[in-house]
Amino acid sequence: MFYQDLKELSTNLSQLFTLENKQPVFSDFLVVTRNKTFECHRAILHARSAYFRGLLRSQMKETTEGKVEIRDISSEVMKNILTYIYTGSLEITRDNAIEILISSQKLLLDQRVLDNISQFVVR
Amino acid sequence: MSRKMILRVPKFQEPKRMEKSEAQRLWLLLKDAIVEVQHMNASTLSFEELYRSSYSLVIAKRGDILYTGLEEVNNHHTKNLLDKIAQAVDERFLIELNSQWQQYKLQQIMIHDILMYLDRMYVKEPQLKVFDLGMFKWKQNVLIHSQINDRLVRMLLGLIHMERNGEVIDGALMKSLIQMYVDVSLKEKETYKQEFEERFLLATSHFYKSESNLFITNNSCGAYLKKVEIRLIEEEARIKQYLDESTGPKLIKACEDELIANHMQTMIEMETGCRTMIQNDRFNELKLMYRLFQRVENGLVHLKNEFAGYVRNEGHKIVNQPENLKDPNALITSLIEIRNRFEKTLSQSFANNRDFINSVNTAFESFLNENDKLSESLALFIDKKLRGGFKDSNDQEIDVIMNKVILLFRFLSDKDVFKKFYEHYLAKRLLSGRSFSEDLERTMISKFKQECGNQFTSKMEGMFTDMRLSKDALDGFKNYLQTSVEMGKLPKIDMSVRVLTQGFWPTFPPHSCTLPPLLSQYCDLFTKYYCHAHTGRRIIWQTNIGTAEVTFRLPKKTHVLALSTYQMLIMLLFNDAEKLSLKQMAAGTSISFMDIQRSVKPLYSGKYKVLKRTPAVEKSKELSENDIFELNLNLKCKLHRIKFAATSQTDSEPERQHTRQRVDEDRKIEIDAAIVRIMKSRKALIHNDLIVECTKQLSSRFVPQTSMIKKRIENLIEREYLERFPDDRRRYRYLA
Repeated sequence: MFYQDLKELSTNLSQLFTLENKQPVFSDFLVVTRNKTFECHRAILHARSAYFRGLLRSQMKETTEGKVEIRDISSEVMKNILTYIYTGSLEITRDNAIEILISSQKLLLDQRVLDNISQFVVR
Repeated sequence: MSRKMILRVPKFQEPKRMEKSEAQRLWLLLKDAIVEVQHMNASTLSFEELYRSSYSLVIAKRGDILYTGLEEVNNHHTKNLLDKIAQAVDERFLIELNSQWQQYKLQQIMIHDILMYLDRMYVKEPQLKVFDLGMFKWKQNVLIHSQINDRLVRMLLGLIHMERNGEVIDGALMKSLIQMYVDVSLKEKETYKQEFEERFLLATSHFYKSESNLFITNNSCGAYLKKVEIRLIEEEARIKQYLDESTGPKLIKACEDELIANHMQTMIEMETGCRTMIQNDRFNELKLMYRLFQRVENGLVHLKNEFAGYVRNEGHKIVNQPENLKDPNALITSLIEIRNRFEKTLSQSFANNRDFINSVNTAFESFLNENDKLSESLALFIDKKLRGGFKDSNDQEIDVIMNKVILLFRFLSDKDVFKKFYEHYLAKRLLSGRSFSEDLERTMISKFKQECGNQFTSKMEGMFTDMRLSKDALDGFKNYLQTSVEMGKLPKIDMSVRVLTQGFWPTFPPHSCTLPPLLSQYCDLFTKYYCHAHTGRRIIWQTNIGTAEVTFRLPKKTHVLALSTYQMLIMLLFNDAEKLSLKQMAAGTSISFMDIQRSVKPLYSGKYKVLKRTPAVEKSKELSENDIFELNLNLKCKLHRIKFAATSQTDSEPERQHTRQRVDEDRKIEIDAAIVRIMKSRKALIHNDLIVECTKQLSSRFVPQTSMIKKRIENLIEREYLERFPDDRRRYRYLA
């Protein structure tokens, strides 16, 4: 038999990346935007985005300091994108769609996400 | 989808037109960083900043500055590296090359990561991807440079040569340097193949050519085979250790060609080679040879032919050995022995390969039919076994022997001849009561039945039925005698009769004789009883194969003589005469002179002599009509019952002739039947086709001679079953 419960997986992973109140668990890397800092996990970032993969294996300043400052993405959009990276779900609205599209292209997320956002934008 | 999007997107994020100076600034920033990376000083750089710079350039449609710049930087860098590496001397060369290469590869990964956006969004075919560009520059400026390539390949091949000669080399270094050829190949490992693999394979062939020539002339074949096996294992390991896996099959093929294919003939023919191994049952060496030969084209064919040739030769020797020609038992025993031996070779060395088994069988077929005596020898062998030869064997051993008999039988081309002999000896066993066990007899027959079907064994089974029915008939006859009126007048004798159905039994040559009146009266009574019980049957008395017991009274002692019917008749004559010539014996019994001769011989020339020749003459002398015999009253024998052979043993040749003749007669009928069957279904047929078809149909029973088939066709034309076409004499037509 084959059992799969992606919803549960997604929920559990999202708990690693909680933004309000609670402390994130075992965080080992910070993603810093202009007005917000996100506490993240190298392993997950590495697994989910080609940008972060390159960054994390580069052994440049960011890997030694344990943080990256990304100035050209707003904290709202970064929150959305990181949520997607952790859970696989992405909330897109008319207001943030274009920005999310541009940012996720920069971070080289999966091509299918990009296609889906583009389609939404076109509608 | 695209139209609306294009309308909307610029509203939100129209990238500002980038000034040329700004682009230049970004490029310089990246260039400096790349140079830092190339000097292994990356840790102070910011990945995000570099990535963003490359991203911005691409977004601003300035990817071209970046790409061409990168090409230049790589070009420059690799050229610098070349000088550095080329300066390294001796073994430092490989180490320097390798360490530069390892670093270069890491740098290229890093550069690729920084320029990932460029790589994904800007680079289009036929441009090389960022990483491939790095590889290409290395190849162009370092690897295939005249100062490097030839030197590197020679050193690598030198190291492999050393390793093949037993020295230890740095496998990891080899792997890294050889893998470099694969890494810089843009498609299908072309650089690896062209620059390295080709020369490596050539060197390999060269190495093994000279090694194998030298080794095989100085060592035994067995040692050579082991050497080859070890070499092949080593080469397999070499592939895993530092070659690209795509080289594997080619390398092994090259080794097999040099080590095996080129020396097959030698390995078969050399003094310690295949022949000797087969002769001496060197199963392990042969197994190794089989395994190695299997790897090359037609290898097994050579080995198989050699083995089959040896089998044929051994078999030929056995079937033609003078001792074996005289002793059927020894012949068949030796054949079973070599069969066992070759089966062992087949299973232990040749993995019971189908082709090998078939060719051994073909060899058996050919030598077993070399000699027309085999059918009879085989029948005699079984005869001996069934007369008691199986006494000391258990069921399993018996089964094994029987199966071997069947196996040999299967190879006989003239199964009908065997059948005749088998029936002949079976009849003799049954009639003389010498069969050891009816169960075993039936087991043997059932095996023939399985092999050849009902038709083959129906007569044999008929014989057993007759034996059973005879017993019933005899019991009935005894009851009949007790109630019969005539019985009161006759003195009692113990008579046993066997009723044999004509057709089931071999035909015995007809002989006649005069029975003593009493016996003849009993015979008449039996005839009367039997024909009454089974109307429509006719009884022919075959007195010549009967036996009798008579009492022999000597002055001091009485013996019982177990005799043949004829011998009994002769002895009875001495009740009324002291001396008799052979001529008189013949006259008194109406037995032919030849039978008299054969019957008398055991009586006067055996161990116990009841007759003596007067006057005494040399034993060996041929008997003549006028030789005179008298009873030997001085017979000295401790036994009460004395058994005599029915005839002297010299009669086997005429009997064999007789059996042969009967086989020929039967064959005529079989051929006639086959021809008629074929012509009936085909209506018209050309001569050659008829011969072929006929031979095919009969092949399971015997191999008919063409001349015999021709004669039968002529005969059938005479009898108007067939006719020739008037316009084509080679064609026949069936006449309904």
